[in-house]
Amino acid sequence: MLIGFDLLDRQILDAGGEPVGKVDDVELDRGPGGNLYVAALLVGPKALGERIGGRLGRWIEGAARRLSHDYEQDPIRIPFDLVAGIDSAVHLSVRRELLPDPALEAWLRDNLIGRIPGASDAT
Amino acid sequence: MKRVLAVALGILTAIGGFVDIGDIVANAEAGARFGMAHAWVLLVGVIGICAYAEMSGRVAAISGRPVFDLVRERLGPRVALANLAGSLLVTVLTLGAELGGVGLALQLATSVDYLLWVPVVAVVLWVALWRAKFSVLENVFGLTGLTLVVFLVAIFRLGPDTGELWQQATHPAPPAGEDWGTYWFFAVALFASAMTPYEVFFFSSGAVEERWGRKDLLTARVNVFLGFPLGGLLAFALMATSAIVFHPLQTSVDSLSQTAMPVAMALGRLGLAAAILGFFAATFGAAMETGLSAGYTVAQYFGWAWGKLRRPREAARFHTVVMVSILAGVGVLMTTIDPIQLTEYTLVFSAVALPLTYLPILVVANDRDYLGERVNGRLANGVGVVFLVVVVLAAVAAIPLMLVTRMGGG
Amino acid sequence: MPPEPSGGPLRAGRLLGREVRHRDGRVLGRIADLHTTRDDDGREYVTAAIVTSGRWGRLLGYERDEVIGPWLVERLARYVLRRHTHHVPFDELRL
Repeated sequence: MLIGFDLLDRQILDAGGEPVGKVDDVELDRGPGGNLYVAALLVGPKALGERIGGRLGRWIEGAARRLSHDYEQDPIRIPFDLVAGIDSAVHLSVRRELLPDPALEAWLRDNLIGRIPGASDAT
Repeated sequence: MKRVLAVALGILTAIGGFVDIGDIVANAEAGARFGMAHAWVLLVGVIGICAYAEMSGRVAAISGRPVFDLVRERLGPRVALANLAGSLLVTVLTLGAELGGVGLALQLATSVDYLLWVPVVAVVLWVALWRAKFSVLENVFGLTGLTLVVFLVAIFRLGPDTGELWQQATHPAPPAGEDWGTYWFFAVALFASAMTPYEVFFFSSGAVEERWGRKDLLTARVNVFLGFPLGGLLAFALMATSAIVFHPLQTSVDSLSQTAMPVAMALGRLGLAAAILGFFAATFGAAMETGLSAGYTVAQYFGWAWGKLRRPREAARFHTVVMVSILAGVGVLMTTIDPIQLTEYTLVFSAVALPLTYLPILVVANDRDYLGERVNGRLANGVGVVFLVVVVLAAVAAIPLMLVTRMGGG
Repeated sequence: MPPEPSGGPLRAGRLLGREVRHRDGRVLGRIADLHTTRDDDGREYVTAAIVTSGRWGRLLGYERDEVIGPWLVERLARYVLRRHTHHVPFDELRL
């Protein structure tokens, strides 16, 4: 597997095929022998901003932080054990309800979109 | 009937690209000033957009990945962000222009100033994107836009000198009183709008919204090869009617009402009513296409949940982007900028967005991991590469031409 | 294995694009991608780095055999690849 090609910037889908986010960065950790292995996928504007780097990256990080009150959850860390398979997307073995809610999505749902009549209706 | 409705996505996408408000007037203006000398550009544009829409539809149907998803995956977060910024500016400025265009169509029908209509149109648009089913929007506006075929009928009723029109079309050159710079400015503008990036964003995302799969490849192809040529044909009819009526008189066309005149001359009041209905449907359809595309591109770049298949509260970020884009479009119009000129400014941003959108589509359409046996054949690759080069050239030429000719003013 | 002072978790995004040297000290270029292999314990271990001396970090997927054509684009991408890219076992690198 290639970390840059097969993981980074790929769409993550949950067990039901629902979008979870993009792989914004990948966390590597050290195994027993000191060798690096893929530990987790990181999702969220903070991880993305750090990867883009520079002034623009910091701006994305800052904007995301201001728009979402509890940024502790950012980035969302998805342990690599939860990855069920990789094709044109990264498929997880769990449903997204088991993962932390993306902060911006939760904030907009609770404070804007969810308050508009018809937000819960299927079209 | 179901067969007919199955091509609505292609038709709506093509109308948004070929006969949106900027194109309606640009085609008529080109016809009035240059006769049929730009007819070949429409043909070239149709071939180019067909090639790339077909690839993007095929990739979406087989791998489930819409275009902007691929853009970030292949180009990385930084380059894709530059594309996102360019595409989003094109899309939102066009959205603003279309809102003005719907207002102008309503002004023709009611004589109430278009700026008063704009807020009403914006609210109706937002409600439609919030509440209505994707397939309903497609069918209503894709098919109502087809009333623009009155322009095609008008060509025959006007009884043109076909030999003269053929002569203009086969000997493309600026007529006396026009120069090559302006000629090429119009050519680039018409070509760029035929290949405008939000068409592939909308088409491929629509394919995902309609849950196209491997078995729908034929539907996808029929959509492309029927929808886009039809859009191109409507644009051609606008150019031709204008070339027949205005070119011999050496009058220029710069408003929507003038554009409809040839139809009124040929077909009377009823024809005019059909033309206005067509303008309304086409511009409103283009407004929907651009409004949704703004949401699609941002959501796909960041990997958010998107689309009209989900309840709005399950795609809160997507619906917020759509809402903000509509507001931004209204804001741009309220500066009282001319909505028709507005779409020409998008050329500048297309220069960034076009090559960075079409390159990843072409590369992924050759990836066996994604498409298996359905990768591009020789024809698709040949046409794809040629158009990639043309798109880059057009993108590079657009800005100098725009400055030199002062936006085609000459 | 290259010695890494901190020893804690590391971001792949920070490794990619970083300039690396061979153990013997000569500069090899920048890391364009990291190759992993699945071990017996089911973990994907980093075994090699694709190192490029060119500025073009993104290879459009042409480093894999699955992308073939179109001829012109492939030629351009592979030309950039072959000229500048090496596959270096990860334990020969000094980060």
